[in-house]
Amino acid sequence: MSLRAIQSDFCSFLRSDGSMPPASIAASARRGLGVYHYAHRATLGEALRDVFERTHGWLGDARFDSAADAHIASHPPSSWTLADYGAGFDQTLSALYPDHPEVAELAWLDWSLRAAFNGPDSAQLDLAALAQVDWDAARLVINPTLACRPIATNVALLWQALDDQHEAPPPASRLPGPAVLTIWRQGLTPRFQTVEPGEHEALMLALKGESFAAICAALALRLADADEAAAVAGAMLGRWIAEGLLVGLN
Amino acid sequence: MRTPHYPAYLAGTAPVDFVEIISENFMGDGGRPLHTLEQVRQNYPVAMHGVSMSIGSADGLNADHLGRLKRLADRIEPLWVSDHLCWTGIDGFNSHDLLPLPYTPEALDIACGNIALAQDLLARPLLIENPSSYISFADDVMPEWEFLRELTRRTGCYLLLDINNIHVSATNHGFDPLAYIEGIPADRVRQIHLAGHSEGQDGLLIDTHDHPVPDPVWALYAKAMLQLGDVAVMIERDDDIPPLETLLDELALARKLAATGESLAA
Repeated sequence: MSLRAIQSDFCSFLRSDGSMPPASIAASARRGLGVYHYAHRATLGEALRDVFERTHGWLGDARFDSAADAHIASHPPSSWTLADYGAGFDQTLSALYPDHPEVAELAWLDWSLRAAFNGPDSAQLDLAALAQVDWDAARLVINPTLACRPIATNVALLWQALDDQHEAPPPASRLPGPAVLTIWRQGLTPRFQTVEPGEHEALMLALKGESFAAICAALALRLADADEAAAVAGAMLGRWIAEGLLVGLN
Repeated sequence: MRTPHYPAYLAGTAPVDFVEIISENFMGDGGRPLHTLEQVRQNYPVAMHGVSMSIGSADGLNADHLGRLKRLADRIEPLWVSDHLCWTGIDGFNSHDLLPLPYTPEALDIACGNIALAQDLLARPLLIENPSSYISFADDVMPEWEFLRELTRRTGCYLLLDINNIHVSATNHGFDPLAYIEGIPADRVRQIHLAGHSEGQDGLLIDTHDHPVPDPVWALYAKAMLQLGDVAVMIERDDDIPPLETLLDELALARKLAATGESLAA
């Protein structure tokens, strides 16, 4: 057999139920096949447990492992790095728990925090230069680790309680209105925060390269009051600077 | 370099000559892993040890992996870069396991081509580690040590000799571990791994790296060192990570055996 045929055959065995040994393996040397068949799944399961630690805490061992098995069965790994395995696990959980949106939201939070943990570094904002900025023309450079997702539940509270571990998490509940979960890394520390749709829109405009003036104009449309919009924009900008969301100005 | 031991490496208080990292743990874009590694690098030389190159894959090497590996090597300036004699997947599927190669002329050609390409891109020779294995292929025409010897001859690569893996594979396949060591080109070995293993229900030894180095591996190491001379040695532990002091005790024994050739099991 060619090397390609041997390797293709062996991978088919790994993905199967393991009952048919690959033809390339010497009959006298097949007892070790189970080691590879088991290790492949065990490695993927461990990778999911490692990244989705709070989701695992919320679901418990049995439900998490069952969801992991379902994901592994339907998502053969393709990336060269195991770190990529787990992309889309939130969607698997969303399909498994359609009436419990907090499960998929927890998974997205776990995944995005890991992505932010070793995501791109960014330069420190030059605070001294802020006084010279022409804010009408300025374009904001947003932290490259920022990730956002609309949420329906108190997932931020759940995650924090699961992380603290010294108290039982509160019950999952629906938020009273639309909200967006934002995740980024400030310095070396991943952070997350729930923001209102107006602030999310402002972040998206900044990411698209719109000027600060355009962001203020969009806020004014939402608030229907230019003075209030200016005050809100100023407070928002100050928070973005303090929390490392704003990393530069063009 | 394992997370529980980071404080000692960051403080520079661990009495070791170098640290070894799993390269993939530091191949992200930024953040704390790289920040920590750069601080440790100020205190110790670093050896980069990878698990994802897949030098035996008929698909060839992955460009994104190689690019990130080169970026890390350029940034860290390691003692050397190593990976395994194995393949991990094909046709867009990655098992994320170190799968054994058939020891055939075709596999040798492909592994040599992949190693040569990686060495060209990285602008440095690779160290290739012998795997532990639990199966063998009907098409095998040469023993593993001969395959490795040919790899070094044809590509100029060096070897990372895992003594535990030799013991595990020798037990599982019934070959003489001393014949393996005698068949390896001693002048190409730059580093040794020492580790422990587990025994499966069917008597197979499994390379779990979650136990102390057992006496048979120490005995084989002592005999190997008589042939290999002055090479770097690392105690490898991937699971059930003990306190650093426990590993340092094992390292002290490794140093003593290297100096005296004394064998625990002799």
